[in-house]
Amino acid sequence: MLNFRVCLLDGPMARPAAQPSAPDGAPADNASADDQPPLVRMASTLDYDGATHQLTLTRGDGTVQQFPANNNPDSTSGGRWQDGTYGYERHTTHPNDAPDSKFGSNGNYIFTVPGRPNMGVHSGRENVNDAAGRSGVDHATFGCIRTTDDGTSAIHDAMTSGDPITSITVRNNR
Amino acid sequence: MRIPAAVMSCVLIYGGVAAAQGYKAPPWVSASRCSAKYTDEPEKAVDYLKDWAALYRAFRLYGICDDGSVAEGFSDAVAKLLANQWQTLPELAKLARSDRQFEQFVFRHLDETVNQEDDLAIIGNAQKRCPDGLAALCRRLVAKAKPSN
Repeated sequence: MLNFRVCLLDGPMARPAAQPSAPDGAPADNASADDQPPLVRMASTLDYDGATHQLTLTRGDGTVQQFPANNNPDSTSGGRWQDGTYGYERHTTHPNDAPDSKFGSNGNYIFTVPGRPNMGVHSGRENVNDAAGRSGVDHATFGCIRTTDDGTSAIHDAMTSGDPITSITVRNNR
Repeated sequence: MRIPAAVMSCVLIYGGVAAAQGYKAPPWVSASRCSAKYTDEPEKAVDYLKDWAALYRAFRLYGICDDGSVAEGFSDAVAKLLANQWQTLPELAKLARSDRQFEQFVFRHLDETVNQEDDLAIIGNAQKRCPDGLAALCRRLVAKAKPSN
């Protein structure tokens, strides 16, 4: 059964940029409509394609970046993410974050996957083999999508540059 | 052309519960209780599981969240303890005797996410340095840590 969640973007992205103010605090009215910045800036979108093993970040200005990624969960875990769209939840970091650590250099970007707590997009294990001899993005997880440090660095940039990611869409993840 | 300054709405379509078909989570896991009770705390905790007592406390507190990144942290902790602190195996044996679910938890986390280097160290420890009286535990560790498992 499909669940629907409606979210309202009622933050800085959906509002006009602040207008110059007169000394008394009243808005200045000398700028023409053509001089004003766009009123709405779109959020970035994140897509994971399980067939091509690519994570695609599309920024609010249309810039597209692609990174290798894999959703390669341990066989005793709850498995891969089902195809669908999942809302962004939170970001965690760790004192030992580094290219070969559990979660990579930029922490874990967690999305709300129903019935599956702590499902994130992270990097790590760049040069470390898992029990089956796989490293980098192919190193097994317990359900998370693993990408490269470049990938999580781009996510970090989007999150801190005014066009944050609000959800991830997963496709072809059989 | 200016876009009207209206509140922008979006609809997220969820594809339902994203667990593998037929998968049965271990009895200590509860996604709903985890989400209701915790946010970052369980994932932060996995960085500080330096002995069996700490791992046991974390299991009792955060076992309900044993999935995703938290589970990855638990697996890494189990592997590091068995690979690098082998002399503490009797402590694991004692905890496992008193709480069978903890024993299941530890064995569950000798999984594919464990680093190969740790896996091989665990097998070597269990085969060559098994403490007196723990032969059965060592045999089970060797069987579970084999890369093909």
